[in-house]
Amino acid sequence: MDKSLWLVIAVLAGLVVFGIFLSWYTDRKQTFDERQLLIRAKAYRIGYISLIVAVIAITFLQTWEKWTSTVDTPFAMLSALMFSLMVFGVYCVTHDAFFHRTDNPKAYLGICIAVMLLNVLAVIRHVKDNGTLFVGGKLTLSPGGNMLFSGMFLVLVITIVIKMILVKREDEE
Amino acid sequence: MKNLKMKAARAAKDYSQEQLADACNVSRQTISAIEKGDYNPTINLCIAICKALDKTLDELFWDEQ
Repeated sequence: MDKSLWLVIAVLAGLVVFGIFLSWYTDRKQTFDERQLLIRAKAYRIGYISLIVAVIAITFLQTWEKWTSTVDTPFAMLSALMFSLMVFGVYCVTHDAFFHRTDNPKAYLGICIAVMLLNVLAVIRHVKDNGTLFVGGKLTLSPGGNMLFSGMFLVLVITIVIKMILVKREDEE
Repeated sequence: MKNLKMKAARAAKDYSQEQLADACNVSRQTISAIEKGDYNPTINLCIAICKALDKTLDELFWDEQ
């Protein structure tokens, strides 16, 4: 089997394990309140619809030769997954359902920035070593996956910062 | 519709939204959303708010009109 396909399977397996852990952790602490749970349920639905739309769009794009010659299929599928996660995250942040009562948004922001920077560094290192973002003329999971992660975390960081400013302004009023 | 009765009861108790949220085990934004009328709480949360503010359900959540 193709190496990059194994990487996608590994990423998906990791996400499933993380999801199970998160589910156990949140159940244990009972952290989100009823309004947040309602919003998160809606966010899951919107994220799922986004995933379907993104996968359909990619399927159509794959009939276009220029697309298939420049973008690797596993990378395209991972981008659809990351897009739906980003939609979920942004919806939750903007509707105050991303952090529970005991969470520290500033600490989370720090983690997001660290993850983003690590992925940016991985992309820079790849470009420095190979002179290009592409592998064999195609955008592949390495460094494409790092680009996706840094992009997703960048959007999340910007959304959290804007939300924190808005909440602060609301508190002052 | 804004819940001014709840806001007034909270102010009378000298509670901030944060303090009321802690007493009811919800986030501050949830209390804010209830007061703004953006969220309809479940009966369990209504009861928790009433207990925290020493009010009855009628006093806080019953609309006369």
